[in-house]
Amino acid sequence: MGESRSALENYRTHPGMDGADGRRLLKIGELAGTSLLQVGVYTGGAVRVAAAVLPLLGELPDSSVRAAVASGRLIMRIAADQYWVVGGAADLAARLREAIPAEAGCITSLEGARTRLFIEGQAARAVLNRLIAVDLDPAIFPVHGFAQTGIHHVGGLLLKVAEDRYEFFALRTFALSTWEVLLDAARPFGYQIALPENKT
Amino acid sequence: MTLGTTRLSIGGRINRERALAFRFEGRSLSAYQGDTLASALLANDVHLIGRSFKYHRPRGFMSSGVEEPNALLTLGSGARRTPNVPATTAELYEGLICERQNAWPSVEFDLMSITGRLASVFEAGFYYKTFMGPRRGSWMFYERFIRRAAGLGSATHLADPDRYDTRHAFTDVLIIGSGPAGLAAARAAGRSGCRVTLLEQDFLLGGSLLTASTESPDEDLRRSLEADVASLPNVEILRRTTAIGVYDGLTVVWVERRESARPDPAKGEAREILVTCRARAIVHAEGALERPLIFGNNDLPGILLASAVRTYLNRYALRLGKHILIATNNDSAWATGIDLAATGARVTLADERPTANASLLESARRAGIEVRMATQLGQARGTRAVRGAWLRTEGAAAQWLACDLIAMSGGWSPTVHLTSHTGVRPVYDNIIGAMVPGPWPAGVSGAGAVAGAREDLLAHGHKVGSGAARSVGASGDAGDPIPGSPWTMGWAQPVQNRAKARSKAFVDFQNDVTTNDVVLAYEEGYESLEHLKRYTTLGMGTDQGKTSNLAAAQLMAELRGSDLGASGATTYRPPYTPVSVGALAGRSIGAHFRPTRRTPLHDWHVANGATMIEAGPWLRPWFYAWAGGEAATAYLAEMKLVRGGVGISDTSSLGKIDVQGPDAAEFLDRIYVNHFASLPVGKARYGVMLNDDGIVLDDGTTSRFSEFCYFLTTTTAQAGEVMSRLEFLLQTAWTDLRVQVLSVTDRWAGMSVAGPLSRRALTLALPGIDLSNEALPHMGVSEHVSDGMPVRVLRLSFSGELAYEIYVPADRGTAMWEMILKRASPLGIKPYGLEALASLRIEKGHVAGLELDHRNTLADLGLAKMASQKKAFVGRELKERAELTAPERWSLVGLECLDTTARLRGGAILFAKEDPIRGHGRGYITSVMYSTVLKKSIALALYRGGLTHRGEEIVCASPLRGEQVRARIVSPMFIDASGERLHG
Repeated sequence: MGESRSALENYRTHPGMDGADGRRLLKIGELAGTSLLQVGVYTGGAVRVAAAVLPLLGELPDSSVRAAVASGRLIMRIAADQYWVVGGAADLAARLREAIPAEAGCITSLEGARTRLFIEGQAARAVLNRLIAVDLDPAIFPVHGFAQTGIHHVGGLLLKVAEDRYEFFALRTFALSTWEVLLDAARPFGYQIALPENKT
Repeated sequence: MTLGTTRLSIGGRINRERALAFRFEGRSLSAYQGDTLASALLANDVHLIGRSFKYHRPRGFMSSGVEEPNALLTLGSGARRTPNVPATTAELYEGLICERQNAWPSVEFDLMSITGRLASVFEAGFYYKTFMGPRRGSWMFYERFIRRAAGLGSATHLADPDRYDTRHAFTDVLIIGSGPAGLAAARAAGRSGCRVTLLEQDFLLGGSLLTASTESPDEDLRRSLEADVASLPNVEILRRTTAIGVYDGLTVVWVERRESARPDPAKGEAREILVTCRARAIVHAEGALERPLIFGNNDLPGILLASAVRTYLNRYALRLGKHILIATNNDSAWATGIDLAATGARVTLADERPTANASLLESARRAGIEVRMATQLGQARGTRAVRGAWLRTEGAAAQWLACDLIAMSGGWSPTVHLTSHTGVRPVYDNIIGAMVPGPWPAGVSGAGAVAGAREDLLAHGHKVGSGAARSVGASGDAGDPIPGSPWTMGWAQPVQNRAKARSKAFVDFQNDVTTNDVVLAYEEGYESLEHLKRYTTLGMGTDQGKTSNLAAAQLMAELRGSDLGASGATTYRPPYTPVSVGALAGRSIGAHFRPTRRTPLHDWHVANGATMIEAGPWLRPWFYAWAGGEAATAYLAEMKLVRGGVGISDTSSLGKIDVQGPDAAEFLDRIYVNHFASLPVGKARYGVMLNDDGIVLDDGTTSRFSEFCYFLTTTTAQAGEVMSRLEFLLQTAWTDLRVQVLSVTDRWAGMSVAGPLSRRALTLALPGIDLSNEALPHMGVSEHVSDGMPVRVLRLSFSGELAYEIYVPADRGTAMWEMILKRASPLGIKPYGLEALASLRIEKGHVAGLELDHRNTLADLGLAKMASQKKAFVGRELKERAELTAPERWSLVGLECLDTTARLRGGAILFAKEDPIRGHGRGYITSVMYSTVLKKSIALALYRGGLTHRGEEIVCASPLRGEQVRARIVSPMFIDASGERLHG
């Protein structure tokens, strides 16, 4: 099988950088091997799609700002008729494709289409607010909150996975550019580069 | 009499334990931590601080804050040189370097001061009149000299070595200004429990409270307020931070200055940070600015605003002068006189009003101040410093008063700049004699002096702050207002000298605009304040008329015989104070100037000798080292490879869109001019889509992989626009269609394997896939899993050769690319770059981005026959407009160069053989190349009348090169018109 390669391949051995005070307040890296599916719902197909995916994904979330978390999967409603399913078994796409009536909705794999970056540490919020116009106050952007936003003119999706830990789904073709901008913004705080982690 | 400064041994808010050394024009000077550059220079008896803008008159400090019009210095040196910084706002730090500006050869002896004697030449609007002749265009000659003579400091041309940052902020209540009202508002809002952000441009909190003595109860009040606010964890206090603009949606932009902390760019520390804040409520608490009085020679060094004199005394422990004249029209300046008298200075107080309240008179008497009521300052005298003034007391002869300092106060103007940025024009309040903010928009309020409050500013701030907190849903107890003595403004009706003055009486100090200039503007018909501003430059410059606007408005109102309220105010625009370009650019410089897009194969290209080229946001391989060291020759070798063998190129940048759904076929039929519903599964079709107005938007191929699933490709350049267009149509026009569209550009790596050996190459590379003509004919498509990878194979040709497009998931792109190169290496396969890719299509006559420029119709591009006559599609009706079907439109042709030693050039203007070579010609060359097949320079072009001129000889002119080349109009399809190669 052809080897999967990250858009950030050449940064794997980056030594990181000390911040202005000599410390490294952040860990920044990539989660490799993320399964990402988009569920699309056709006009008039919402009820049938919801029923079809219920056994596989559980209830589709109504919220467009909070991810539903179940069985190691994250489901985010990214538009009125579109959902992202992050993580899950290797055969999930095939099973969903089989379950969803062709007249009601569709499944598209976006595996490899996004580079899943993460930033972790007490300065993560400060760094992100150098890049993203989203209020990350915990009272407003809680854990599992997400927002479709952008970094440096390029769209992407920000997800908060824990206090002081965020993930950003960057377009793969802009991933290196986004990564470099992220590291530059993190420069005053200091960071270490995390080796790729496998995420299911 | 010479102005001198005494640094008092006690008092002030300076740290005498921490001396700071700085350099002023090469001289080593010393002052204290807590000084501004202005107070530091004054402490070193530097009073002559610059020369004025136009007349090069000697100028000293006028204020102690952001309103300073005169004391602009150049700070730093080398690459860190920053001109036009008000010394009054620059916090002193160890090692600061500064110099004066706008004088030659020196500020002390400035030859350019001759302009002051030529004032009649340089009157308002002089550049519209005096320097317009003798010939048309003379101004262009004079301008460079005038600009050199006038003006401010000069910036460096060196790259800025410092780092600048930007960030976003969010808060519930944003309070701009930390004077008494701002602090009270922050205390109340903070206690209410919401998120509060308090901005202060100074490095100390307190605003006008800082003018009071450190021994006074006001200092206790300031310290208590600051401690209260600082103790609230939900209140963020930002010092050295200036709000520079207020925008719609309760958005405020501010700049945080870190220079005094000597940030180290090597550590990522920013010199300045530009912050965009979205607030839920804004409380303006910018306070008020003191107005100067207008009298003859009111710009002499040693004439300062009364509040500034008091600030220098009580904040910086600097007593300016010994024999001091206080000239005022309101109560506030009396405190300056009383404080100065307490230091032993001899103080005379001239108040224009007939009387003052008894307590003030008694305080002045006790302080030993000579008070002259109903007395106006007529004219000051002096050369490089004030030495006295003529006073006019009602009913008495003018009297000369010798003095070395004049502290003037013409009343107060609320700082309405920021409050006006969103279009809320200030209105005149005739009770306080000043412009106040217009009606507050929703979510915005004003606390204290900025709102023209007559009441105690602390109580007003408390009320407004708690109200703002409630408006955002905070329900905590704001507590009681601060007890203590009321802190009120010394509002006054402005009373100004309105006569034409014999000596210069300045209204706008920074732009050298005098009362006479305003009168002249009026006499020449420039009565509107906006016209006055543009005619005289009043209110322009770095201070944006902070001390001049109201006086000018009042003077003009009097000249027009109207009241000040009717004359209105000029338009205030951001920024409130000057902003460095570095702060605006932030981190978006160098490699981060704009985002860069890389294909999944980028690293391979770089590692294998590709020279990369920018194509929009993309970096694409231009040509490869194996083919040569120069693009001009390498692309020819790469083309030969494709025409004679097999090459592989990276086509990942093509836009790719999944179109799925029961109505996908109907959807495609509507967006493309040709049919797609009839496209069989397993086939692809070339399609063209139009804009609403009938102009070609884009082209590409669409493949049908199942009944409901299509894979659409766009040009690289139009990918985003097409995707937006499709979403727009589905979400607005055709909401009933059961269709989903999704950009999968980033999902798939694409590569084209082209050339007569391409089938053999892929058979070696993908042995499990049947690529025969029967299994995969031209325009056939198929899906497979090969070597564990999902693979899409599309038999399409952009080059005109037998060719295949291979798509695999982006993360497997390099693996597939390397596998094809390795397995097909016996056939000599090599990569080819963008230059060859784009040239191959020219030979074949395929249009691309250079021809699809949003100006051409189907017919212009030779594609008219594609349009269906049986179905509706976007742009169908409007493409039939007369202008778009005129026979003489520029349309696509091929060109062959007739001069064997010459070459055609992109952009060349086309003329018929008999035409004179001038003007826009009959068309232009869009794409050009050297054909390795035809052994000549060929081109695609747009030419009036198009192929109706086939066979004609024309001239291709490149005026910038002075070059004319002969060419013949031919079919744009230069090779293989029958399509034998691609069907091979």
